[in-house]
Amino acid sequence: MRRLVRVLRWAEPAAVALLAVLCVAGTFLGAERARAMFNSAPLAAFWVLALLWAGVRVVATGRVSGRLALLGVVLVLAGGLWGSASGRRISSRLFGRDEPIEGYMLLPDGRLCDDLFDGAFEHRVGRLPFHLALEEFRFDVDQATGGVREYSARVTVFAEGGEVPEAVIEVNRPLHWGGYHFSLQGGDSGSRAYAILRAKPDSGLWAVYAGMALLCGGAFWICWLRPVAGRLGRAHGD
Amino acid sequence: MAIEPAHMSLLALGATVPYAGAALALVAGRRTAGVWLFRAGAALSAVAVGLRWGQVGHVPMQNLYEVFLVMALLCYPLSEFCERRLRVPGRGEDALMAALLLVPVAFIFDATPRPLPPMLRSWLFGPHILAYLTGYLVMFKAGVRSAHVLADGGADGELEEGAHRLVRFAFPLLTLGLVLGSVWGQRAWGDYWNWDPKELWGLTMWLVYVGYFLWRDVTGGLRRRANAALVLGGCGVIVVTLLWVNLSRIFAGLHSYAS
Repeated sequence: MRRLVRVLRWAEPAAVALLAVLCVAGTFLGAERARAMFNSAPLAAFWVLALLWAGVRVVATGRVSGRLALLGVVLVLAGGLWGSASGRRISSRLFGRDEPIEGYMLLPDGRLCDDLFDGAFEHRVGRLPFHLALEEFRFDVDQATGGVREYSARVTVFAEGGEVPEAVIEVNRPLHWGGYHFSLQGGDSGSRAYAILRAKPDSGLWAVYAGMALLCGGAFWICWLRPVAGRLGRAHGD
Repeated sequence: MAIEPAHMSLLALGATVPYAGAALALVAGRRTAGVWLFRAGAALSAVAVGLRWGQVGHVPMQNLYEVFLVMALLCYPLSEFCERRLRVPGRGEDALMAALLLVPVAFIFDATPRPLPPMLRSWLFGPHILAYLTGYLVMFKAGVRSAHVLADGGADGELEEGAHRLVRFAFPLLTLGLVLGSVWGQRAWGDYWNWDPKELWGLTMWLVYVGYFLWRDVTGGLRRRANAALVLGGCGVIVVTLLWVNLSRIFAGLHSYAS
């Protein structure tokens, strides 16, 4: 039993080292191929194992700060798996609803659109369950430099039950509607105005955010607060 | 405010002199003179950063010129914090680091001010970069101590413990930088993780230090040279992230505005 525990304790740094090596390999592959590698079957198994192991450690760890950080890891991994393409497919089958698809939209001025395409706009990958229409695309120009300060798209969402009031999508201010995040990737104004949006389902996102917050909080607690508490405790003991 | 790039570079070069003087004075044992020179260098750095901020109209951390300028400014306050709160000395090395950071600012990096692109106009810009820069500087300091540990064969336990205190302080800042970057990516690019080379190098760096903590946990912290080697490895990844990823055309990606 002791040998098993020792082997398992060494498994953690070994797994972290393996993941670091894979990340380095991924940087040389480029984003798309790295994405494919980290979403492949062997690495999906790795993520699931890591999730289960982190879950066991949450229960087995004595300190609250350690549990916090590990729970953060569990939530980030769970949210990431749930929000992946495979995760969305599984959840749609489990709950009997349409699978949310991620992709890019090209919104010409004044036309209703629900089509989603791949990043090169070569293949249609799916449809949204509602429509969007571009009302206006505008640039905000910096008078001093002549450069573009900001660009924004005013869109209307058309769903069952009628229109949704107009929303303005800016860079760094996405639209969140109907279980999707729409972020502005580009566009042009003028007589043939258009906007390019990235549509991403929000499956698992809130778990990821909660996990990141716990992970960060746990790291500060373990590394900053615990040593200070230890020193104060020793000082009082003296 | 119109300030010639050449004048900014001269100001950066001007700040290098007291920093280098501080390093020499502190190594020679002239503590008072060294500390005052270090403060003078920090004051000149603060003027440079302030002028640059006024010149570009946004927090000056958009490109490597500005990033290195801010890092040089941070060296003095972090050195004081590490000396007083973390009980890790090394003002001479910190002053030398500040001087070395300003050399490429004065001679290499392009000082031409550029407007901030829409993607960087976010409240997350400042905290994300600042968390990382602060973490990097403290990790570099830990790396210097770890190099001393390796040089003396791990005989001095206090050297290695000092490096550990520095890593323990900086690690949450790197975690915060990673988390803020993910939140920003979700807002700007529509995904909290895009498998971009800069993101993967940032994650690699974070994993190296996670591995360092796990290694210390499993070995009881007793393998001083191995501990030091891991800290130095992390520093190597930081250098790659800061310089190679930003300068190389091999790693073009979503973060390609740092040059």
